[in-house]
Amino acid sequence: MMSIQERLKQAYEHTPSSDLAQAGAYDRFLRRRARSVRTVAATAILLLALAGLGPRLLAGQDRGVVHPPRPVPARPALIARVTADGPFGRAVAFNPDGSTLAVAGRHRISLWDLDRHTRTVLASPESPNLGEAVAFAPDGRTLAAGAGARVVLWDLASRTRRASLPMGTFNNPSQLAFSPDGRILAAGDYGGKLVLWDVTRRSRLAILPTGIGRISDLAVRADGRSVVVAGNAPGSGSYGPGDAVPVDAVIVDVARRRRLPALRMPAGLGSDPAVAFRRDGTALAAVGDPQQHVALWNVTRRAHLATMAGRYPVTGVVLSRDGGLLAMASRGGEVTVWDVGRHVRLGPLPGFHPRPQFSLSPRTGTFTDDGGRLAISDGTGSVFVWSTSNP
Amino acid sequence: VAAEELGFQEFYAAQYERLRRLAYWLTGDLGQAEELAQEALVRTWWRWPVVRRLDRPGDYARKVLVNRHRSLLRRALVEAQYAARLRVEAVVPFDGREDAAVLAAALRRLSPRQRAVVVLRYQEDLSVTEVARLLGTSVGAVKSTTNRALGRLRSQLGASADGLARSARRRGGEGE
Repeated sequence: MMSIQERLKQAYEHTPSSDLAQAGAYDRFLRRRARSVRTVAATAILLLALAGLGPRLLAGQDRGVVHPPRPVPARPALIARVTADGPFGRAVAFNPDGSTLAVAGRHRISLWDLDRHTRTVLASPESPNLGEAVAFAPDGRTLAAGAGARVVLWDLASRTRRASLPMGTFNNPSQLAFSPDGRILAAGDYGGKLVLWDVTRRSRLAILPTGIGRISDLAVRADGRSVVVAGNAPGSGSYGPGDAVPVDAVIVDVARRRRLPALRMPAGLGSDPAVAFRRDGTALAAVGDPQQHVALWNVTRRAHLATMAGRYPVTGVVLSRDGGLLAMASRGGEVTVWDVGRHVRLGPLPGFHPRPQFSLSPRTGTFTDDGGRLAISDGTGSVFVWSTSNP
Repeated sequence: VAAEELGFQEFYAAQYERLRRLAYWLTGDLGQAEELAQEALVRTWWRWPVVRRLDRPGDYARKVLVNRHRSLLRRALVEAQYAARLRVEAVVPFDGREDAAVLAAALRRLSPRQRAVVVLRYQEDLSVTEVARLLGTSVGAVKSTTNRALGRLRSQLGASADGLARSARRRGGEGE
């Protein structure tokens, strides 16, 4: 039987690594070092200046290396509010540079240029029932939108419809995502199927069952070889509203047409679980639960990374592309933004008072790729845009 | 300067993970662990011309880290208020390694000083004398803190295998 000492030693060998911290640690170190150099230089100059004025002022001033205080994170500020086409204007997406916001209404899609305050409208008379899902291609030139049981592709330069791709699953798409190279378009549907298209050839590559009841979010990995999807665990239809429903995340190997065993993450809330992926496709998932927490998971390593505590049961989450920012909606309507890496709550979103049954999902809320803006559709015909001032 | 920079980069690569690990077990939080490790390395860089000639420059960085951790603890009150306001939970490792998670949670419930002693002695494998020097205290204090900390860990891990084994041994009359 192992002693405590041995167990400590063994646990030490298995110290968890931090996905958030690992990447670019040396770069962050260099920036930090550079900052401290500047601060020391500035302090030295200040000290010299003060020395000329009166050495007594200096008592206790020289403490060797001076480290600047952490920048105080800015609170989100409301920068725009646009009207959607009625309560069906739900799905929202930013183009890659964050200048344009797409709002999918029932019969048309509005493209709001947030810098010039202008609107462009895309319509597809033959394919009504837009509004379920919308996504920009990584090059910003193509827009994909769910239209009934189809996905329509628009060329944004000419504002013409390039393709109308049938889902082939008899279900409407619940969420859309392009691969980082823009070649593959993935759609998850309300029946738990994953549909993949080759965007250039406009041909369907595969329809893959995921074993999930209904796909709430999906992301294509950087290499385009696998897709990670999440949603209610199968059989969750028997849960009532407000019940804690288990959420499954599944990695689907696209090339081999097979899926890895699901990672079951405890407790989403209701039928539309609060789950979101980091948008760059590294399988980092955030799951909100009725116990007022949001848990971060690395789906690939099946590891729980962190937990953040909200104030009310969490009804929805959205992650920024790099996973650095997280917006969580609480029952009662408050939405708060967190700086995930630094574990700092940036504060509630000002000016946002949605109805209590408002729900936030990666479909209805989205960050710009750089995390600088956040747009959320309130479900009653308005879309709000905040500046998060992400450093 | 370039050669120095290169040397330090190597040193950084060799030490960062080690320091982060130590800081993780000292603080119980991955975010704070990175902060501490980076801070210690920045401070080591400042003394690099001297430090690189030491036999074991890594030990210098470790010392900086432990000191830094101690001085941060002095601000514990402020931090605690901050944490209470934010209600941030510490990161709990669930790497599929239950024992590490259980131990990390138990360690977090020790006082910072007890935790530091346990981590340095049993995880960093330092001798009682080295721990005493690092923490700026006496050998006797380190020993008594260790005993108290282990006692608390045992009672916390309660019905765990270790506790059962110990009571079994005790019943068997082997004592300790």
